[in-house]
Amino acid sequence: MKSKSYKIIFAMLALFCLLVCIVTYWLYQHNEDGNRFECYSLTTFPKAPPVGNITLLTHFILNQNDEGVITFTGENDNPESSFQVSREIHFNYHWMKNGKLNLTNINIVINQSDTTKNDVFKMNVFDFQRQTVHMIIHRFKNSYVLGSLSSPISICVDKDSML
Amino acid sequence: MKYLIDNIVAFDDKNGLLENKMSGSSVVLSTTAIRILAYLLKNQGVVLSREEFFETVWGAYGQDASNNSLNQYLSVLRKAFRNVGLDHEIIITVTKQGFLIKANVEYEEEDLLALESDFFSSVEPDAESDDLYLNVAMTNVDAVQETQSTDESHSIETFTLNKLSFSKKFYWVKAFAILMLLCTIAFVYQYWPSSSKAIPTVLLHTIGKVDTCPVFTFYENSEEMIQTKIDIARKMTLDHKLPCIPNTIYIFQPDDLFVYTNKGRVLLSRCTTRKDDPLHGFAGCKDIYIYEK
Repeated sequence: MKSKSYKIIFAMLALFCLLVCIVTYWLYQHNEDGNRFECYSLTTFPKAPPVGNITLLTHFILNQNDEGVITFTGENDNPESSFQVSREIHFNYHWMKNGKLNLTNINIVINQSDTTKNDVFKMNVFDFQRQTVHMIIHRFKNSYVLGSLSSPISICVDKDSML
Repeated sequence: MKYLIDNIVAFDDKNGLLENKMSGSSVVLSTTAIRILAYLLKNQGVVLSREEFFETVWGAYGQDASNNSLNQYLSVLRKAFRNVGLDHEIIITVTKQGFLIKANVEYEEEDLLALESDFFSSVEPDAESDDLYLNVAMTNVDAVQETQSTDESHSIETFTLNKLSFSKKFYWVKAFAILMLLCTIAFVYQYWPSSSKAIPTVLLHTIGKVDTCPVFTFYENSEEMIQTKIDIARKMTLDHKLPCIPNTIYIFQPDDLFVYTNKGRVLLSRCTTRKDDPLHGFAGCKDIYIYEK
C-alpha cells in the first residue's frame, strides 16, 4: 500500500511539473512571438541645403534569437550634393518596460553603393555610433510606431500581418 | 540491472544468469523466474504478497497465474540458489503475508540511478514496518521451507543492511523529486512571460480632417490644442507635398516645443488604410519626421 501511495504521489508530482512547464513554455512562445516582427516604413527627413530632404525606406526586423537588423536604403533630393544611403544596422536587442527596446552590440554594415558620410547620417538621420541605442516601440494594429525616447519617428507597417 | 547477492552470487536480470563468482557455477533462469527474482531483489526486505506478484510479474505482461505457478517458480529459484552454492534460505515465506528475500544485496554502480528512478524501489520502511519485518524475520518465518538459516545474528545483520539500503534508495528518490521541483521552478522563472516584454498598444485620437482625410494623434488634446495642431498639420501637408488621397489617414504627433515654437520634433504620417478603415490596419505609410533645432 505504502509503495503504491508513493508511486501515485511521485507520478502526480511529475505530471504537475510537466504541466507547469508546458503551460509556461506555451505562454512564453505566445508572448515572444508577438514581440518579433518585420515591418517597412518610408520616411522623409526634411533638411536644409546642402543636405536636402533625405527619403529612406526602412526595413526593420526583430528576429527570434534576440538579434535584429534595420536596413536603410534611399537618397537625398539635392542634385548638387546627392548621396545614396544603403546600409544595415545589426544589433542585439532586449525588451524593457513599456515598449522600450535597448539595442546593443551595434554593427553598421555600409554597402558599396552607400555614398553617405557617417557624420551626415548621424546628424540628419540616426546616431547608431553608440554603445546602446534606446528605442520606443508601440503597436497599432499591423503597424509599429518606432521612435526615440523623445518622440515617434515613423510608422512601420507589417505588410504580412493579416488582420 | 546487475545484483550481487551475499557478496558471492551475481544476478543479471537482462540475461537471467545467476552465477557464483567464486566457483563459477551458474544457472540461467527463465523469463518469469527472472521477473520474480528481480521483483524480490528490488524490494528486498519487504514482504510481497501473492497479489503483488500476480500483478507485477504476470498481470503487467497481460498474463494470468495461479498460486501453484508462483509456488513452482519460487521452488525453481530456491533450487537455483542452492545450485550456485547459496545453501541457506534466500527466499522466505511469511505465513499469510507473502514472500521476501533475505540476503545482502548490492547493485552495480551504473545501475543505481536506474534503481532510484524505479517505482518498485520507492518504498520507505518506517519504524513500525521495520519492526514488523524484523519480527517477521525472527518469529514468523514459515518453517515449511526446506531449510532455514539458524544464525539469528546473521539475520539481524542482514536486515539492518537492508534497512540502510532502503533508506539510501528513498533518499535518492526524494532527492530526485526535489531536483525535479527545482528544475521546474527554474524553468518557470526563466520563461514565465513578463508583462514588461509586451509591446504596448497605442490608441488614435481624432483631431479633425485635412480635406477628407481624418487626422489622428496618439494622445488626447484640449479643444484649443486640437485647432492649433490641425492647422500645423494642414500646413505641413502642403509644405511637404503630402496631400490627402482616398483611403488615407494622417497621423500627426508634434511635441509641445514644436507646437509652441515651431522648433522640436514632429511626425506626420499619411497611411493608406485597409478596407477603408484604420481599425483594419494599414497597407503602408509615408512619414515625414522633422527635428528642428
